[in-house]
Amino acid sequence: MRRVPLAPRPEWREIAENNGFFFHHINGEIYWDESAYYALSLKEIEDGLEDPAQELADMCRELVADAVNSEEILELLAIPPLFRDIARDSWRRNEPSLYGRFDFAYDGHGPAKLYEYNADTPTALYEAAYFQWLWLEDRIRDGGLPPHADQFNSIQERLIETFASLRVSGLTHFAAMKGSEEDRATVEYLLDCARQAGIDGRQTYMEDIVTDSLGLFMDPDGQAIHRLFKLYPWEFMWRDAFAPLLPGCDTTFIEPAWKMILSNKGILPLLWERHPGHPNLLPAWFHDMAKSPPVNDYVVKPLLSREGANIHVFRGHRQVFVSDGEYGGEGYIGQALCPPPFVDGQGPVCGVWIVGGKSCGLGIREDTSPITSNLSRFIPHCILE
Amino acid sequence: MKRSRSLSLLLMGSLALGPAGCGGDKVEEGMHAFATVDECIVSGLFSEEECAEYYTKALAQTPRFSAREECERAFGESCSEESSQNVVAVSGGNGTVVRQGSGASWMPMMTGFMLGRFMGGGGMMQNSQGLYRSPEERKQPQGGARVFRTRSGDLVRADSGGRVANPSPGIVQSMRHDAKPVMGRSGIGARGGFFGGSGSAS
Repeated sequence: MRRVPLAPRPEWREIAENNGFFFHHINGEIYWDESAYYALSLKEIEDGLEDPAQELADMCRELVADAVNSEEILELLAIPPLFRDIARDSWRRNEPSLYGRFDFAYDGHGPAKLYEYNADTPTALYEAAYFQWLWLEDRIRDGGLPPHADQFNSIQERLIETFASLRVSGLTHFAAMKGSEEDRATVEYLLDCARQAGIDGRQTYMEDIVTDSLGLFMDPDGQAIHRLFKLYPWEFMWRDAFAPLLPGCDTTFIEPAWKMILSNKGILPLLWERHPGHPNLLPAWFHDMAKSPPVNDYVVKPLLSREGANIHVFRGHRQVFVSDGEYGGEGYIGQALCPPPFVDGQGPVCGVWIVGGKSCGLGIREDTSPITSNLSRFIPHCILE
Repeated sequence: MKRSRSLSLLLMGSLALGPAGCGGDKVEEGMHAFATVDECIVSGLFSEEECAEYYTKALAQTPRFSAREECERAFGESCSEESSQNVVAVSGGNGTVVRQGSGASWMPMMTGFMLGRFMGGGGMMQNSQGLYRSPEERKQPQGGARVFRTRSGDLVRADSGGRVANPSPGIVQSMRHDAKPVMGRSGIGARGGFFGGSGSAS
């Protein structure tokens, strides 16, 4: 795995915007960065990332099957009692999952190590699934990359297949929260894929959802919401005013409620407990401030957090780094420290996409800080050897 | 090959798609002027119940004057005494009640009503107001287009289909006042119940 500089396509911004990609800069900082790419070998992709992600995805499903029947596990994950039933029911009804993203530390040397599973509301999807693909096609055409260059990426194809497999009739709503162009565009992209699968979709915002006089959900135009793709974490719903309406509603959610188990960082110690010494897992535990952790260098993360918030890094049991945030009320887990590998001064994190249960693509984000945050840059990749 | 052979996007990037800009049978924004409830129903833009409800609401808000001269100054010769118009007391709704036979007795003849839908707090809203002939607008334009005045004197031009293409900011403002959400399922129970925590997606 190498990081290779390459002059960007001169008109890349225009290409991005013509393809609906307006968040190529975020808060004034470049986000889509094609001044370099990561070159991996086919073996690094298949043995190093694709297969391990598939194995972990299968391990995660087994974990959910047990967790829904274990009050002890649901308690450890701090899932409120009302939502334990919702998660359990959604699993028993076999409600389908669309997607998720495993984030790995990986540089081609040694096994990829799982940082976490973004199982409920993963983003960085459009740029991995579509714009990265377009970049490769363009670079092969303009000679920036050789004709045999390839990419680990059938994400969009798989999204369309998965939407088609839902065999739904009627309207499906797609919602994010207001105020984030990135989230809005991600939802717009998924709606585009759903339409290519023949689904009748409509975009709305979570804040604009209302209920009818029976407490059933509808959009602001009064259309019933029977199926809702939500780029909105389940744990936000725990605290929402509409929470008590969820058990009785006639809305099916994507991601389904059982994904609240997998988006919880408590799965990291649970997976380690069930598969001790697994090459793709880091030692992890439910963190108790009163007890000494099993390793000297470790990271402490909230059970529920996003965008790298509230992360504490310890070396020799001394805190050397802490990130801001408002998470952590529900408890913490500890995980053995495994800094991103340094590849030419950059710390890449490999996000492997699981769509419809299948490992199907890669998006690499890099950061100069020790934690991948929402300020990381997306760097395209290709397969060269 | 580890990548898809061909990919495309249907809509993304090809046009500006607002959050509400999709869906086949959506309720659209717009202002419409109708002379009668029947005209409103025939337009197919609003349900029979909505046409009747919003006609009645507009009628109930007809301005009243204590003297004939004041009324005529604002609305010309169409003014008449209240008892001569069949004003219906509105109960329920927003609670507007017209008191008959009180001191305020001179009102202009309502020659139509305007019904409009627009995006507002929490979604699509709708409202109506009465339309009146004004002193200087006795002659109507050709081609089926019509000109009215609102109760506050703003000019309203409707095309032959009743559409009010460019309502003035004053009119839009007056329509927003006490507007109600457009209903579809069976009444509104609650809104804004998904308001998120303090973070965003990862």
